[in-house]
Amino acid sequence: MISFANILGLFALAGILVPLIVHLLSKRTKNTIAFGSLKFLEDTETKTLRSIQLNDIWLLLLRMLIVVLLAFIVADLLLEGQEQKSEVKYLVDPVYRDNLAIKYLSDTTAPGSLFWLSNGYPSFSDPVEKTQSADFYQKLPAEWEKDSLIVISPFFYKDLIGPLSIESGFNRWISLPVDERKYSLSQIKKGDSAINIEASESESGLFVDYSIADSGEKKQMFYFFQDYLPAEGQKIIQSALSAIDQNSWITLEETKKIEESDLIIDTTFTPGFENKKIVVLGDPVTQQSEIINKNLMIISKQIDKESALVSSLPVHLERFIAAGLLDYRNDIRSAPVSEYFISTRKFNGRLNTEKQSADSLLWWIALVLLLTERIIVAWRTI
Amino acid sequence: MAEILEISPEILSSIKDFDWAIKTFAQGASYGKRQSRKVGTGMEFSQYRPYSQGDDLRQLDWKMYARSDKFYIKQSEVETHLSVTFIIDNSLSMKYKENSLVKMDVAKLLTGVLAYVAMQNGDRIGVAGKPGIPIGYGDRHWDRFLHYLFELDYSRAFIEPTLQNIRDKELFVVLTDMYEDRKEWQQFVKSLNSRKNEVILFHLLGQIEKNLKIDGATTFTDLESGKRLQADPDLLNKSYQKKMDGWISELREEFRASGIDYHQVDYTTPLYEIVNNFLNHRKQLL
Repeated sequence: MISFANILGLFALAGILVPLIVHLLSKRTKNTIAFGSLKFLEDTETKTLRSIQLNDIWLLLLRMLIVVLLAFIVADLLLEGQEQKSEVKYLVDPVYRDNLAIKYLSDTTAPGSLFWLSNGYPSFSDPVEKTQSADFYQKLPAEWEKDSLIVISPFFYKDLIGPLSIESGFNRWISLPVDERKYSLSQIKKGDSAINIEASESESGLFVDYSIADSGEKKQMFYFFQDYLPAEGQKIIQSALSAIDQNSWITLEETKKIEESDLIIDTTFTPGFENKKIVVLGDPVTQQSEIINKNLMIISKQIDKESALVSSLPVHLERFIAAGLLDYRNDIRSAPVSEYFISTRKFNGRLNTEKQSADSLLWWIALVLLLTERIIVAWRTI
Repeated sequence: MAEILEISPEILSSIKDFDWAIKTFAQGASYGKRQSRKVGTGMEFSQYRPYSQGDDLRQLDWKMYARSDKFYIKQSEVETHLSVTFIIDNSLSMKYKENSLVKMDVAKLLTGVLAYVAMQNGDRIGVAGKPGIPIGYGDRHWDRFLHYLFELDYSRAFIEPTLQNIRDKELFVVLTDMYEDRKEWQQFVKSLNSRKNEVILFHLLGQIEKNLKIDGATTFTDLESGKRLQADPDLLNKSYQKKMDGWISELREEFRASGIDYHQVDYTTPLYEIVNNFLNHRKQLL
């Protein structure tokens, strides 16, 4: 990366015009003279003329280069030391799996420097011990230095204990903005109840805020995306599901009677929920084939109960949108990529290296070039 | 007087001036006086016959002996008429100008002076060319001669100067810059030379023409072809001078080996200097 301490000095680059103008002016010959014969001019002339031109151009470029160097000296060119990115390890929360900044980071860092946190916690084929308890990050690979780690995660650092906790003095957390998409469903009629649902999807899951129109009672549900589900969350879901009344189950055949306003969630991929059926809001007609093939949990009657469900919701939301049941409001916020990385530079140690002034080096180079230029000119006129 | 001894272009603006300038010049420099044969500063070419036993030794021409290592007897001082034919290079290269002096003009002036001197010495003068001026003498002849000289214009190609029948001893005076493509001048001049004839060659060159001391990048144009060439004289002049000097010495050798009196002259020098040097040189030869 190139930077200048005194960037105004770059105005000196205008000096590049000086040798250029001199060169162009000198191209127009000073004199014109009629000779009786060009014979004695010709043989050496063609050689000299060509070499004049060649020399001239090289000299011109040389002089322009000298001007550039001098301008850089005036502008105080700064060279950065090597960024030892390979020594920095990024531990990234998978909530950022589609985040552009993280994509950029993984593209530009050396291999073996970016690790995905699983469920928010380190999980490596490499030696970091996973624990199911609250004692997270207790062990790091011996050769990893705490100072060379950077954790990029939005949620859990506050709850951590161990070497990467705030208490232990670890402060290399970066929390990037999470893309958010909001959906709103103005009203669903379900029998006599009208339900207002507002869903907002983030990278980690889906928040569904719903309220029953008559009573005004508000509820919220949060759906974790499969990958993201923390062990704790799994427990919650399990307990929630177990609380669902057996009577709420509707068999597959009966789904045909399901009204439009039922919420159907696919649980195929959720371990432990294979046999449950969930009803998903949507157009049952279009989803007929899907309903037949999947395990569904119908919760239409349970809609007022807390239930945490695992789903690959974005897909379903798209169906809702396609069915015209959800208004899609894209509120994705994303900061420019560069902003993310400015924050990494705030860290001390290996990320941030001193910027050295390149002046002395440039002076040497400029001096050598100046001497070369003079020597060439002198040699030519001998 | 001084102005006339120098050359100034205004002199050549009219025939009358030309005429007057030449005569005044020649007379002013005492060239025009009728010299006695014995002193002989003119372009004499005395007649000799080889010595044969019994000849009067007082009549031996020692200068000729010095020149040729052979003994010759001078003939009696019969005024021998010398025919001097002037051959002037009128190719476009002669239009070369330096110091506001055009080479051709100087050649004409020089011709005029030498011709006048010759005429005053009783020699006959003529100019080669188409039509040229046949060998002759006298005032009317001089007028014609001068007129022709004055009106002489440039020609594009090398035309071998036509010559009259060579009868008497001929002296040819050639004035040229020697710029040639295929040695046409060299060949021509050599062809003039024979036992009976003598050839004097004035190789006229300017100073800058020889030393290329020009400041700054220059566009050179060829007077004959119009070709243009850009060069930097500062870089070139050393090698150019070498070439020039080499060329001149080559010519000098070639011609002198053939017995041709070759003179390389800086035409920009004052005319009297040129003529003086020439005549002194001739004096040494005789």
